Amino acid sequence: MITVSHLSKKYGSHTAVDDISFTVEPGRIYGFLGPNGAGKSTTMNMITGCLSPTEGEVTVDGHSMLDEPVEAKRHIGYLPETPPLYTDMTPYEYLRFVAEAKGVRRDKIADEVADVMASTGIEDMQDRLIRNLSKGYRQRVGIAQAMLGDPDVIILDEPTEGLDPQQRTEIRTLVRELGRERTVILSSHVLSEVQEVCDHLIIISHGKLAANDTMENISRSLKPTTSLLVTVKAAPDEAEAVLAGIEGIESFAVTVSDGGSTTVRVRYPSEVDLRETISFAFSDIRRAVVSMGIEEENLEEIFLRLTNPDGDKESADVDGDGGAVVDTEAGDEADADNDDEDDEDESYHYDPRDYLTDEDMAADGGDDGEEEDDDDDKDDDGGDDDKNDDDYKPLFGGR
Amino acid sequence: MLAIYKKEVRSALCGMIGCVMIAVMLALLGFFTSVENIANGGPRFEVALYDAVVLFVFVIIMPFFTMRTLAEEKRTKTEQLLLSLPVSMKKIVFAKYLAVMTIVGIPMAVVALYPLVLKLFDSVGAVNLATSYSAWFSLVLMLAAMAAMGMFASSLVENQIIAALISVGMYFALYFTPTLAAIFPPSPPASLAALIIASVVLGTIVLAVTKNSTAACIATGVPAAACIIVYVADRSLFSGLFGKILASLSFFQLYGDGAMLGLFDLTAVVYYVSLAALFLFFTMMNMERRRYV
Repeated sequence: MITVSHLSKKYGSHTAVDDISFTVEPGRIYGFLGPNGAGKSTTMNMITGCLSPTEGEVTVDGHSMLDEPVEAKRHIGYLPETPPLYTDMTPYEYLRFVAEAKGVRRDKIADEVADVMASTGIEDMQDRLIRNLSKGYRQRVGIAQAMLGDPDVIILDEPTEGLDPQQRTEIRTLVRELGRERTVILSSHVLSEVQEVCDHLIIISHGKLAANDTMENISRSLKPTTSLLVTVKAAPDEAEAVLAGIEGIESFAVTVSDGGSTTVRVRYPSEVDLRETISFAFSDIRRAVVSMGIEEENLEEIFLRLTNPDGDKESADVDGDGGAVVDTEAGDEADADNDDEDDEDESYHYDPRDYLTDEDMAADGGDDGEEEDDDDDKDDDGGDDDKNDDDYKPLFGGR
Repeated sequence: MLAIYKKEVRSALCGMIGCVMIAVMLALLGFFTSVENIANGGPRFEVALYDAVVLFVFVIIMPFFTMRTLAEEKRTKTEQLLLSLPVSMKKIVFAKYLAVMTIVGIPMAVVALYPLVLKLFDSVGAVNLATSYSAWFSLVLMLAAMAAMGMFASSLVENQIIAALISVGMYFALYFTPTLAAIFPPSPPASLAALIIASVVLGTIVLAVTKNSTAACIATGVPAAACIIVYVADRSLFSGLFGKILASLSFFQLYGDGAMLGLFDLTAVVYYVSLAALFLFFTMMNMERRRYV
């Protein structure tokens, strides 16, 4: 369907995309995953012919994007990062324009436009100016635009970016429906989204291909670890002494310590829940646990594990600025978690940290350098346990 | 291509700027016609058009028709839609150009009725439709060349105001080339120096556009070397040469000369058409180049 071979893009001396090759088979949903600035959009722009590669080639259905761009583009529908909408038009006018420009046959235009409006649910908005539509509806108009002309492959660049949780769920459902009939390539830096929707993952990091495999295989190669942020009213050495005495903890590191309270990041295998144990251990020495919250594993860590499965993370630590990061959102969440700790069915739908920023990434990536010596221990058991009764969402765990 | 053309015409007519500019152009051309042909009782319609040209009417108005065309697409990122459509850049640029010319054509079509109106009230047979329409036709071609230059300016930047300013700058430069030609020293060394400077400017532009220093060196070196060789061989050729080159670029004067003499000037026709084609080509290349940066 789509063959990407040795694709590179250089901006002066900066290499945005470095020798990426993969193929896209029909009838699947591909997740294109990578942190901000990894080269996702650049790659997608090259696949769709909006950008010319410095090296390498893209062929769509046997047509080279360089030599036969018009033929190749007929097979692709593209929603770029910013939906390319003419805000002075109504969705109906806009979709008609795109259909005509894509060369849809005159007698079929009305039907196709009606079809895509129905499947993206924008019929009620069809006569309002796009300028006046909400972000979610604009995104839908953008997706509708990509669906016109019945392309074999639909490429969506971060379609849920900047939407509220409700809208994100709707767009995900829409993508899943799209994937029934066509090939969809979906880029994202939101883990849960890709995990929910896609069959196949292509992960890129720093412009390089980090992984390219089915979702199942990638889930199998990753063993979930829980990362827990614990804040206690105790001195750092006291906290460390307590944690050192708890069995099952893989590693821990003090991240913040001020005004008599200490925050520690604790890691342990996800198949056990050590929160109670930790809580009781501190109450035994009459030290109050102020908050406790589970951090979702971020992309950077997954890349490190994928590209460096033996856990020699120190060498992969990009900036190495270590801990000392106060994540206020994490703190709030931790409070909430602590309050209803006994509520087993508790689950939250919206985690602000789903949207990883570069800073988070760098900070968390930096933390990795601290206490990872015993990472090797965790290689011996499988990671497919379903922890449905917990608020921990396994990243690639069996779903 | 038709779809893009229709969309462009529609958005120009639905938007404020297009309509306002059509109205302004009609008002000014109507004003000059009233003054020259009605109030002053002159039979020559071409004088009214000529007034509009010398009084910078089109220098001010034309950028408004072209400034949005490509700059706005880049600013709002709708450019990416155009780039991902199965339509070649050549067709996109041409469709947009045709749309601009359609909008400009609306007031020009209305104005085309004026000579007929004058003829209607002409009891002495002084109104010459042939000279009137040849002046009108040359003016349309001149506007076509200006529109192509304006679109090129719009393809250079993302901000439509800056695109308009660049077009105004280009038009003014063309306005003043005849004046510059007249005052330029006619001595051969002066022409040689000016041509070498022009080669360097050409090389700089090539460097800025292609970011390729080899191409820039060739663009500077070849014409400069050619000039020096010719100069050494026969320096009398360079006497007043640069002035002549400048004079031959007289964009607006060329129109004025033809129109005022009642001529249908083929030189002007060829000049305007080739200038329009050249700048459309530049525009297309520049848009295509954006894929490569």
